[in-house]
Amino acid sequence: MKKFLLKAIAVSFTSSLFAQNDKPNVLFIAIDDMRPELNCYGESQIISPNMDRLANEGITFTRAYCQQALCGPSRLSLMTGMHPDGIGNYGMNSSNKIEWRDYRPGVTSLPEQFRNNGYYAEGFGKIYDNRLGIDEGYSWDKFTQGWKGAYSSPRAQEILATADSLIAIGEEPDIIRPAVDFWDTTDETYTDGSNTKLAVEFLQNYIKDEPFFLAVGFSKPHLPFVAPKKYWDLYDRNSIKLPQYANVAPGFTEYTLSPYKEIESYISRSIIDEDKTKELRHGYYACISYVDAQIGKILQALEDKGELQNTIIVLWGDHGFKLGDFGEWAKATNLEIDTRVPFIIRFPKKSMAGTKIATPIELTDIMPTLCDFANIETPSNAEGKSLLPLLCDQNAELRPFALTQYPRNGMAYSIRTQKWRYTEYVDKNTFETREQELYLIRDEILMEEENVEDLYPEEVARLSKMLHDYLETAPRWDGPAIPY
Amino acid sequence: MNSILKTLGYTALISIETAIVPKINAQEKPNILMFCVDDMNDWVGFLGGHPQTITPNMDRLASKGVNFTNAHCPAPGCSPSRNSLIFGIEPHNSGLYPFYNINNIEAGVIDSYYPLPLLFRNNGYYTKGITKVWHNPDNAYLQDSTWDEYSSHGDSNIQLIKEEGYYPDPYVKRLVACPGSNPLEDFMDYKNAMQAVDFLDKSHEDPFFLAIGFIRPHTPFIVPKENYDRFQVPIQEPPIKADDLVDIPIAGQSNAQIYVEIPMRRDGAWEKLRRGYLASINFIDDNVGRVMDALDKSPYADNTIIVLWSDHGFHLGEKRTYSKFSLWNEATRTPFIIYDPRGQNGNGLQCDESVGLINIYRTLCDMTGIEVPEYVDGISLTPWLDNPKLEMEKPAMTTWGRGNYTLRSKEWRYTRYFDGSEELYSETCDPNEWVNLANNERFDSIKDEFSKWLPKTEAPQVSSGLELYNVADADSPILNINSFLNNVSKYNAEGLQPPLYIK
Repeated sequence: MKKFLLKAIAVSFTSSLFAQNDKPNVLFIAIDDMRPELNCYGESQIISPNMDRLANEGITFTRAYCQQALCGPSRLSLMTGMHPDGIGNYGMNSSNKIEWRDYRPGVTSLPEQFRNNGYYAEGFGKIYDNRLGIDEGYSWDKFTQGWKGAYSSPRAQEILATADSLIAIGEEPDIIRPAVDFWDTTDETYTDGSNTKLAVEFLQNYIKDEPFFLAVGFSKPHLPFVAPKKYWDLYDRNSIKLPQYANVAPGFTEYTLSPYKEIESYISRSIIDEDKTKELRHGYYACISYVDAQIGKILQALEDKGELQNTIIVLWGDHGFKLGDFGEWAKATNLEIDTRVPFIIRFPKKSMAGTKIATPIELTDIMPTLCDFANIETPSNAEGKSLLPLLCDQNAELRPFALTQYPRNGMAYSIRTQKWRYTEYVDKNTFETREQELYLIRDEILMEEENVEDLYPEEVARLSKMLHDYLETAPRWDGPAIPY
Repeated sequence: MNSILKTLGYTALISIETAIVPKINAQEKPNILMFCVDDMNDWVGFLGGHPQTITPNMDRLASKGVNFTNAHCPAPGCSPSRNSLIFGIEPHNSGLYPFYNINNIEAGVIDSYYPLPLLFRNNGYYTKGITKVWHNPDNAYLQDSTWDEYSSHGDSNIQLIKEEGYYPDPYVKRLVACPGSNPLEDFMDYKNAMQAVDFLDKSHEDPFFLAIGFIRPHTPFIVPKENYDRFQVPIQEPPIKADDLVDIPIAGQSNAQIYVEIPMRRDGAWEKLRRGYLASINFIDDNVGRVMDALDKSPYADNTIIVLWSDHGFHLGEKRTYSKFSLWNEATRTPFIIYDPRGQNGNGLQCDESVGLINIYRTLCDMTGIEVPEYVDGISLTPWLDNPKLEMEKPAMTTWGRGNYTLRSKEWRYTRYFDGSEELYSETCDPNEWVNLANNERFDSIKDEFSKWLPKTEAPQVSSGLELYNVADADSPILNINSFLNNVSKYNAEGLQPPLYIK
């Protein structure tokens, strides 16, 4: 009873703290494959003044986790507020592009709910993974993908043509397509700069009475690491650090890492030496600085429009990425480095500016949080929690763990508590345990250093029970999964 | 009977035996309607070379017949291309490499070649020629014996609307791109079309061979204002790589027509020229439509084979050049359609195999049952009219000067110049031909395979009757290269953008 009261007070306090007279606009920023290696996350390698500004004026969630470390399922989960098990989606297929809506007509998405409540929703770039559909007409009044192609420079064209020609005669090129490229050109040459221009124009020309839900999805720093030269020039190659853990950690099982070797669709792994590693990391950082500059332009346009103080800004990443960490160049695992994402909310009046919250949360929490904040009913399909109580009391008990999953060795579920990452591979139907991993995650490292499953049997048992208790009642799509 | 009399006027020995064929019933022989277009590249709807092009009439023809999407000229210049096509002999066999006024070629050199329309005439066809079937000055060559009727038409005092186009100062004829304000009747290609329309309106007892040679889209791009008005700026620029010439040997580089790029870049006129080119193609399309409409209304519609070709393509900035005279795709590739209304299985389909226009001679003979003179090069394409997917083993060859040959298969282009230098492009991976793979040894096997198709023997260049001779080749290796280098220096000295990079 006492606890209930406290909670009620907390909620009403939160509501007053963040009270909105009008319906706030929403600026919804998605970034592809960007791990939270930013200054606002206590790192120092990357130059990203605009994202740092957002963090300084907003709230940074330092333990935010995606629900599956792969573009398609992660984004669909976030946009519907449902776990992959709930929506029944675990992948996407470029040779079988679908519209997810055709398979899940009864689900209400985040922007759709805003549209249902008087908002105009428009999107640019990559919000959903287009292999699962862009959902125009439901999620969006209008959506522009604006894809300009991955490469533009003459050098890249040459590499591509030579590689393709070699493949055509049955030879194996070392570089199939460039994993990195720079070119002395304008931001608008590439997709993200071009979409930013469109988003800025959207803001400049917006005259509707309805509040807007503007979504801008950046395609970088996803491979290939291509950005205008000026962003490469921000970094000194020699000072780029090599990964701290470049080898497999003790106790990794055969399922811990992914069989999906993303980098190999660009270059042969045999040519990745120290110099190449630095070059790749350099490219990744340059891409983040490029995206950051685009975010700056949008923030400026919002400010120029006079709407900055009436707009809630959410910035998120769909999953992390391994830059040679554990010897890998990909995502698609349940490891901390692939599941942990950047997530920043800037409230219209800069409430709680500069706060960092370390409670493990999920990207499924975005939907209830935004609905809550805009005084909109959260759709019934949402599985996440509103984060507003956390803003008042950082120790508020929101959820026992953040959950991530990946279909591997049956289904691999991974739960993250303040201290532990526990991963269990189960039979998809019977939930029978197949394999277990336990990692003690140190806050200062945020990497799996060793699988300590054998050392902490009680923890394993406790966390396993917690997981199985959850799975017993968790929402689960009981029809066939969305095909991929 | 008639045909034998005509043959008497024709001195070649070879003609005697080929001309004596039994007179065939007029109803059984299909008529031929041949559209000869000048300098028209793939900027037509049915080849998809430019998104703004408007060619509904030619598109209609392409959709009825077999659309050869990968057709290549025998030579990238009007005179050598048409000499090859009309005589049915490739430059390396005839020695007719550059431009000629063939009336001035000394006796005995080309007398044994049988012009295609003459062969038809000698086989019972009534032949009608209009304007540029052959390269202009050659029209009069055997004119009386070749054609039952021939007429040539020019523009009548066209008043240029210079402010709506590009009129370079100092004047360069090849760069004029202006609409004309005159009525349609004053434009030569309209006259050409109406000649054909009148011909089709008349009743003909014998099967006919009607060849219409349009002048546009050859420069200057002077066509009615109406055609210009259909194209609004911005005109999309084709893909151009500023440093495209860097990986090309000097013999190839020197085919880039830099001297015309200087005034164009200086005046920022590229867009106006491209607009003029599109307008010119559109004007030709109107005129093709006029003739096709007349044919459709005539009693000949169901028994007339329609052939459409262009003598070669045209660069509009791609590979840093303008016009033709190169061995790259823009210059060698041409529209090519054959429509046989009597029913070919391939009608309505496209053939993506690499074919040479050199094959037109044998194909038309094959389709009409006319015996082909022995010397004639090429093959009959009738199997491809039946099945356009049939694989073509032999690459199409284009010759530009003695010793310079390019071989184009469906997937590759291999070029060897007179000095042994080479280019190799993967057309599937690099359709813009931006990356020369010839010096990458991993592609040696491909080059070896193509080498076997290069000419084993070369006829010496015919030395009399020479007209334009603007290529570096085995007979003149220096001149054109020096002039190219000189123009590159001028271009760069003026600081024009983007700069020209050469090796």
